[in-house]
Amino acid sequence: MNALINPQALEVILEEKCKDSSKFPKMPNNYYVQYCGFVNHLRTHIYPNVDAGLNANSKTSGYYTAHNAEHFDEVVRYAGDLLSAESCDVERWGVLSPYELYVLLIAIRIHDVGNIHGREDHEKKCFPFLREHKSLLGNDISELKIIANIAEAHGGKVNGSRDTIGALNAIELVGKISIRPRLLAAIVRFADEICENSGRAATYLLENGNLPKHSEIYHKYANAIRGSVYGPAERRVNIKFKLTTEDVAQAWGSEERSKEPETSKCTVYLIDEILDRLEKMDRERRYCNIFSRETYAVESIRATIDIIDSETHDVLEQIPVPELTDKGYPDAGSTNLKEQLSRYCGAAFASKYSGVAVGDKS
Amino acid sequence: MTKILLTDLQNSLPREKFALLIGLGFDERSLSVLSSVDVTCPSKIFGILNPAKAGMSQTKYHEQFLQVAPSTAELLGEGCQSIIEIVDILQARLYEPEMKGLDLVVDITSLTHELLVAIIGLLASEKLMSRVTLLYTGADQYSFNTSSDKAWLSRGVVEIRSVLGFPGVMLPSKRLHLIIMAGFEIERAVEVIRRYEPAKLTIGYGAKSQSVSEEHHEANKVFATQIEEFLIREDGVRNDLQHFEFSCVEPYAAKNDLIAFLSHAHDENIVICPLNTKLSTVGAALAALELSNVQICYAQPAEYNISGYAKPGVYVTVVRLDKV
Amino acid sequence: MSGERVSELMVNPFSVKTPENLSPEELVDLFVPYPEYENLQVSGHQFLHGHRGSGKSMMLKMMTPDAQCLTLACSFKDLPFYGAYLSIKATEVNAAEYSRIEGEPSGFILSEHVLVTKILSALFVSIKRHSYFIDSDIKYRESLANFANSTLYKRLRYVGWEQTSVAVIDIDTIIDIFDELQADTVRYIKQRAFSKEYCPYNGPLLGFQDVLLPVVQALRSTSILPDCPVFFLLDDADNLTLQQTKVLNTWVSYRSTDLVSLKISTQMGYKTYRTSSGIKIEAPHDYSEINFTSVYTGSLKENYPRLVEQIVEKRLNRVGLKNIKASDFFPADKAQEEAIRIISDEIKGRWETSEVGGYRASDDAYRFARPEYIRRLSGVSKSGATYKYAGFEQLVHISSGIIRFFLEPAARMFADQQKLNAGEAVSFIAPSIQDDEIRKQSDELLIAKFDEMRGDAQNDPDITSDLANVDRLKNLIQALGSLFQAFLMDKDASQRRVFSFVISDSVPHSLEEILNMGVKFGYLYEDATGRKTGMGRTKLYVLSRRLAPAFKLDPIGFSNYLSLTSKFLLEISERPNSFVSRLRKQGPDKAVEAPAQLTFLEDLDND
Repeated sequence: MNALINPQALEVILEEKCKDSSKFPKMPNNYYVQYCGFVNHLRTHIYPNVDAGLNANSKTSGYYTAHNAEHFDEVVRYAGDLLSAESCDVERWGVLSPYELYVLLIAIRIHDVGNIHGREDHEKKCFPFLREHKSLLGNDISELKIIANIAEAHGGKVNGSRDTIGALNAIELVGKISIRPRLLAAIVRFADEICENSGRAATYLLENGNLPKHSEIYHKYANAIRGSVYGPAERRVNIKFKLTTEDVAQAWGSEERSKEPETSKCTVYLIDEILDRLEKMDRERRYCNIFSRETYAVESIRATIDIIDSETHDVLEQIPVPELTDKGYPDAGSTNLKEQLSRYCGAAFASKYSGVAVGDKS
Repeated sequence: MTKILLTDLQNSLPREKFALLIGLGFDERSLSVLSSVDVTCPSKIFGILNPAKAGMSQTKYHEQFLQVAPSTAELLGEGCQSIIEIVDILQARLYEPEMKGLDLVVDITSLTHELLVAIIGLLASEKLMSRVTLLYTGADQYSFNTSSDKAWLSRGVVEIRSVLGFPGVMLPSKRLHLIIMAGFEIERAVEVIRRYEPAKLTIGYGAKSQSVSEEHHEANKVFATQIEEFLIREDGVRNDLQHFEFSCVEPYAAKNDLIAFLSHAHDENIVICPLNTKLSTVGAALAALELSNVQICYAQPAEYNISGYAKPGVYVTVVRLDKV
Repeated sequence: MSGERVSELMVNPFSVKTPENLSPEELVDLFVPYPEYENLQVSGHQFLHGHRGSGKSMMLKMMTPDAQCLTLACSFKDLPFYGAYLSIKATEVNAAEYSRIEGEPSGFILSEHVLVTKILSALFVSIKRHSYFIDSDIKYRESLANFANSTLYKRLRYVGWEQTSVAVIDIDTIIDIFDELQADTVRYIKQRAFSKEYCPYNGPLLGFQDVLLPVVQALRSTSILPDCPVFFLLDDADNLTLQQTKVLNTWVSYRSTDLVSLKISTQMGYKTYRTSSGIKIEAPHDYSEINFTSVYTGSLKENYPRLVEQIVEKRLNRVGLKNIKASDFFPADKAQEEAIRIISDEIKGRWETSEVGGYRASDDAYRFARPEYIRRLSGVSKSGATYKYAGFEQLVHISSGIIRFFLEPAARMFADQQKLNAGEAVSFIAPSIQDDEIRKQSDELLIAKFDEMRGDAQNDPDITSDLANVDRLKNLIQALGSLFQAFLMDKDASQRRVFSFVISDSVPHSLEEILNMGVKFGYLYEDATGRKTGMGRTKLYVLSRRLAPAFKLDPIGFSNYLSLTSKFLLEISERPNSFVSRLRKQGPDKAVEAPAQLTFLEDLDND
């Protein structure tokens, strides 16, 4: 098939850019046709099985948030946002070179397929996966290794170090065409990071209380995200969280988190979790900015956490999350959100909502 | 393999349906074959030039070649600086429709050893060997512009490299065994030995019965001994020095001599440096085609005795490469 | 095996046997450490630059486990570092076929694979050689199996290796795997030798980050390697292709040195310092450098003569010539030294009676006496007496800081003396034999080397211009030699003992190319100095003392250098004859000035 169903902005741009074959290493090849064929194969044969594989084959079996076709489409969408891509302005767009765009899209499309074999080291499975499918991608294993390295940098460690993107080359030559692996990896990584949203939560099971205990918090978190948008003009990620009183009132099951073997910590309050995740997102923001700064930079994250009444959806309380950005003298204090917002964390705050009935406004 | 008079060469060649490829260099023998055959017989004639070297023209004979050969003749390799370029051009020609099904007769006399080996590699890779006949014009005298005690063919060594198609497999787990098929050029041999610094060294020379002549054999032995003496003087006695004899005149015999000798070599990285006759170099190439882990190396001279390299003899050796 | 062999060194003590063919005992026995050797033994990437024969291969070999265990008298597991040696030259990594692949898409990945495979192969070969206990000790056999199953096979499979794992795992199995990987790669490149068409490589692709580093880490954690950093000792890296060089540089740019350090030796022909991204690696951030090339830098300046002395005496000792001093084995020409001493007394006397310099040390007088002696000899050219380049001191200076340039002629001298002695033991080398050999070496350098260079110029990507540079360099060297000679011979010249020059203005690219070529081929040595002029660091170019005999120069220490302009240097490289004639007419001081109009007139004269 030479076309995509529901192409994202970057994919529309790719179709346009592939018309100039001189911008690609193997000139007689039509990279757009190749891309479509590959994505359609993924949609048909791979994506449907990723979630099943993830849940069945992971060491800790559970019910992970969705890693299906929509997730990959979403990451492409967010990447497009980071790069100011618009379907209506394809000709002028030049943030990445045509071949870089192709590499980026392939990397995004496969970055999580390793999950089909289970969560552990899933990011390290991109190269074997690409090799298996080399006939769909031009048969050049060396080229696929370069793409795999970019995709794999979205998580995990390289030789004990979290600096997976730094381990890549700043510039790589494929034939006569040069690409920027670190930049591309940073885009994949951050787009994946901000792409979590309510669509990934297993809503039905959440509502019916049938999720495995240790998976609860992840789904609660995903479900609480009501909007995650990157605004290129302000260079800011805006995330809206909406929590019901029930969400807040109790601790939810999670994987073993405690570092000390004597204490066991398998439940987490949702607000605590949100603040931890926001900090992680900020760390990712700063990390990815190192490599993307010449092209774009995400300068801040603004989050709003609204506690709402589950019936009326009226906002009962808004938690003033400070904007996460690079400000002040570097060693002045920490940005530890849970310290700054300690009054909203833990059992003390939860108990405030545990007696509030649904719909009770008095 | 047969050795015949140049004047009888025409009778040994096919009457039709073959391409004639003439190696052109600075050697007077470049045109010996061309001048001895009926140039209307070959379907196509090519002149093959050796890679260009600064300070030296590729050949003195290209004008004469174009005069003697028919107008459809072509020079291949003009301006090319590397073996790869020339081999690519030759390969492209071999694929042309007009070349389909033709036998190939190649005059190897004035090709460098490197280009000769690379062309054999090419022909083998294209599975054309059974259709190939090689011609080699003997010399009446070498270094005819000097007295025999001051005879020289080449001087200095610029670079030593493996020949295209014969890189061999050099494993860190094995030690390096260098085999020099010694000729008359001591300096070149010594420099190859110095640069490779092999763990094991073999110096080969022409077998008595398989040399161009008795004088050549004696001279060859003397030169081989001189290489050894040079090494002893410089570096002390080598305990791992071996000898072997090979045919200078018959490629398949040379090939078998090498293979037989190498059958005793185990767990070694083998490099062969052919510095003897072109026919024995063909033998080395044939051996390396069978023993694919063997490398053939080439020591590029800095300078050739262009003005007096060799006087053409009257005999030409004809070798068909159709033996399995 | 080594016990049965008659060591070549027993025959000629100065035989320059390649370090690779020395047994560890011989290696340790012969080795005299340069102070730089200490620097090599710390973690960190390093480049060692030196001409063939400067001792760098020896130094690298000394870092291998066998030699280290002998030197430090320690066991394998107590090694401070593990040095795995690989001679790049003795491989086929720079086969002609690679030039096809390097221009193709993702050639870099394949080049990295080629290097990783070779290096890991060398590592396991080294482990086999030095860890004889692996096969005999059950615990280590288990460690090896554990390592193979938990890391090696996993990593190889990840990058596309498709063999089934072997049930019995020993070190030979692992070496076989790497041998097969190398053979596979060679099969592919051979296929490409006669195939211009791009056909992609389908075999495994080993990389530095995804295979090499994890493998080394795992070898350490399973105690197959001692718990210490691993040094990869890569000898003669000039033999890498351009792309392979960039791969290596990319590795140098990684901060992996707590696990793996690269010690890379070159013969001054390293192709580039750029990584595959085009960024340059730099000292001291990415690596440090050790230069063996200039006798005037670092510790070599003071210590080189002592080093040579130690090397000579060690070698003599090994062949049973015990307690002979180097200076006695290579005696100077007595009559010559006596004559020089007489002149030295003359000079001292003159200084004492004059107003200047009465306080100068007698050493100085001796130093001035030698060139004076040479000068006087030239006046009686038909008398037959020529200056003798003999005596340990002179031989050391002539070798220009490269130990091979001492040992090689010494080996020839020894062989000649042996012949002369007709069976009697050699207890010293006659001055005439020394002189003979030194002169031969000098002539060879001037004539033969230029022929080699003519060809190299074509192949060297750094030397971009045409052949004329080789001739220009030849002219430059000849002219400089004549100039220095003229200074020596001219009683009234401002300075007598000159062997070097600095360039007083900025150096145009054309001149720089010629000078670089001169350095590369050993005619000139570079040194940075700022002492005399007091202005920052200026490059000092020193003529190789191996050329001293060709120009009848005194090879022993000097501090004088000339300040020359680029214009002058370019001129003498293009028109040496007009310069030489000007030199003859005007003397050296004036000739160096090179006024423009005079030059023109000189040209007319010469037409």
